[in-house]
Amino acid sequence: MIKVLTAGALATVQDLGRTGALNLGVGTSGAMDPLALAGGNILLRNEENAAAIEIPVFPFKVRFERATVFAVTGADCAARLDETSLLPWWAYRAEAGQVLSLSLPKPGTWRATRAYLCIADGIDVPVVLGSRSTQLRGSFGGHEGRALRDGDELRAGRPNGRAVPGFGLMPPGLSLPLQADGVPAVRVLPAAEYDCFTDSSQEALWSTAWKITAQSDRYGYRLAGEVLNPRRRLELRSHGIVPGVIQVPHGGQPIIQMRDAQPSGGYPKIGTVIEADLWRLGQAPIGSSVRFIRCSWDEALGALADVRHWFANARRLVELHCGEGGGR
Amino acid sequence: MSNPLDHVDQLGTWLKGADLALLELRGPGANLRLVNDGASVRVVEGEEPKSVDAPTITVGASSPGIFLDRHPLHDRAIAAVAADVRAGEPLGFLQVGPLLLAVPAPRAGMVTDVLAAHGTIVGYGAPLFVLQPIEGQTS
Amino acid sequence: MTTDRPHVSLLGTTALLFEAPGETTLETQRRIWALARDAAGFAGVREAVPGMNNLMLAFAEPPRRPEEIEQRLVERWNVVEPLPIAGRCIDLPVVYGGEAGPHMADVVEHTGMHVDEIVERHSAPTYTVFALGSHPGYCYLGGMDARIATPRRKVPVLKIPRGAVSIGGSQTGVSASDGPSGWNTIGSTEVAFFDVNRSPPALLQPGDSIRFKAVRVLR
Repeated sequence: MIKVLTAGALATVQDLGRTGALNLGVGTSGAMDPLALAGGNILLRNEENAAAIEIPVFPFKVRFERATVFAVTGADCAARLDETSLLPWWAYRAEAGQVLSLSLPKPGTWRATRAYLCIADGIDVPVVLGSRSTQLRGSFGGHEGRALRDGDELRAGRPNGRAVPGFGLMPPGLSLPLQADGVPAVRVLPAAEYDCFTDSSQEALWSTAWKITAQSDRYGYRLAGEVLNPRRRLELRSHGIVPGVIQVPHGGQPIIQMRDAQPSGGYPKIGTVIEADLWRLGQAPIGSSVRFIRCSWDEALGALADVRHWFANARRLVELHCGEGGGR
Repeated sequence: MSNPLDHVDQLGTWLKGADLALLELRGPGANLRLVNDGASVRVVEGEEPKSVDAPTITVGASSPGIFLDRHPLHDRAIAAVAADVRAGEPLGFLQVGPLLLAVPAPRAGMVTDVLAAHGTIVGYGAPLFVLQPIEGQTS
Repeated sequence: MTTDRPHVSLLGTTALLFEAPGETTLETQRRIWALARDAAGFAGVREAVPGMNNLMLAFAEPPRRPEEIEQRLVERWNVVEPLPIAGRCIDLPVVYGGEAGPHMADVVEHTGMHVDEIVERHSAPTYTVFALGSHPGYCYLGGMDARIATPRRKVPVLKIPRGAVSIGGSQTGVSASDGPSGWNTIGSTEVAFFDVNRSPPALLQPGDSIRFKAVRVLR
């Protein structure tokens, strides 16, 4: 049992997302940085899809009402357990009554903006339409279909006694770097209306940096940069879209659809950030810049394979370590 | 004969170039210790060697791996020479593939030597730190 | 944007999009429903999601060679028969204009019509539910009078309320919950389109239909 003392804003219970409900108009939701959520679960020997708390705004504070093994992954947010400084991406045991405090991430060797509090056996909220992720629009899933508030109490899943404290994981932000000219980058596949944009707009997409404006959140990232112009005015029919789609409304400034985006839309699509790189966007802070790298289908599949390999390798080494009775 | 202290800069350059963590010169009249923590080389003023009643502890690698003197998300070494540490606190880390293991201080004390450079591959048992335990402290 | 042949494109590695050619029609939509039913069974496809005369295939596992699934879709499209679904019809009471329709003025300006004419043209047809999308329970409707079509807004509005009745391009729809939208809101209704505790949770499905009934016109 965890009691939320300081919820900050926009902290939500998420898992890896809700699939199979697009025909009801229900999008994926899920963690903005799925590698951090799954990484924390792997560290705690949970199933990868166990629910955790996504924390985008700090400070954030919870009290453990029972002894709990936990890990804080994603951004390094100067975590403290009572007065003790904690390491990021590390499994710890809290005793009943101890308070975990997370603060604003400071610049370190990896720029990130969202933290994930993962606990042994996962956060136990009801499964709705196949997932524990919070569906903010429509107010269901997660914890009561809303962001966390001070005073909320969250339960842990049924204990399986597998988690072992006292070791950590290398953050994938360091193991899987991707930059273009020193700027964090993501790979993009051109989308249906790519060829409808002018040559100079296409060039601008790939060669200039895009700033993530303050009007960016789980629904979408509004970018500031060069104005992207179609060769002629485009008016499209409503069609299905997915997180990562880069829409260009009439103003010419792109919007990247993120986890809570509508599952359909009608603005022209110039490209789609590949699924394997969405976690990088999920950790890009407001005010930071990103670059888009054009990739091929095969390269996109290769990127997915790299991520899967990272998970599998992490799981294998964690099992080896815990199985040997390690983790002192 | 020239005094080694006059050649600290050159000695420091050689230390860095050879990727060594420590150079110690002792003589009847002087001690010189240069510590390379990866970011800089500095002269460490040492006290006279402690009495033989308080042996230092050498902390070795519990596993082969890449020695890190800091968590990879952090900018600075955790435990440089002359740092005081509590029992159980990490002095550094070993990276084994995606896993990170701590190199914990077996007892409270002061770090007197850092024997491996950040980012180097070390074998099982490789000496990493020398710790001068605090009298009377238990782990 | 109409084309004379179907167009298939990628949405990253997560999905692909099939656009039917020609103008947006109910006949084409019935063929899209049939194609969706077939494609839902293709290897690697998690879900087949109809849109307005288009179809998104969400992958459970992206195919090694997307060209193969693209070709298969086009081949099916060429032979598929319209699915003759006829669902139920519901009447939606709507308050048009004023506070209930904050963008009515934009529709007036674009179309050059008076509010009453817009209301009459909007509430005359029986609209077929072509697809669900956008947000939980939201129905994309076909059959709107092209004369009241108004382009989506230059800058999407950060929040329009549940029950908002809006026009975007040549389409109309009702918001099932509060949220952002690029459409022009002309009225408001109280009917609940989605309840996660209900089975099925969505009020309507493709093949059902709606009639808007003007209960008041605010000026």
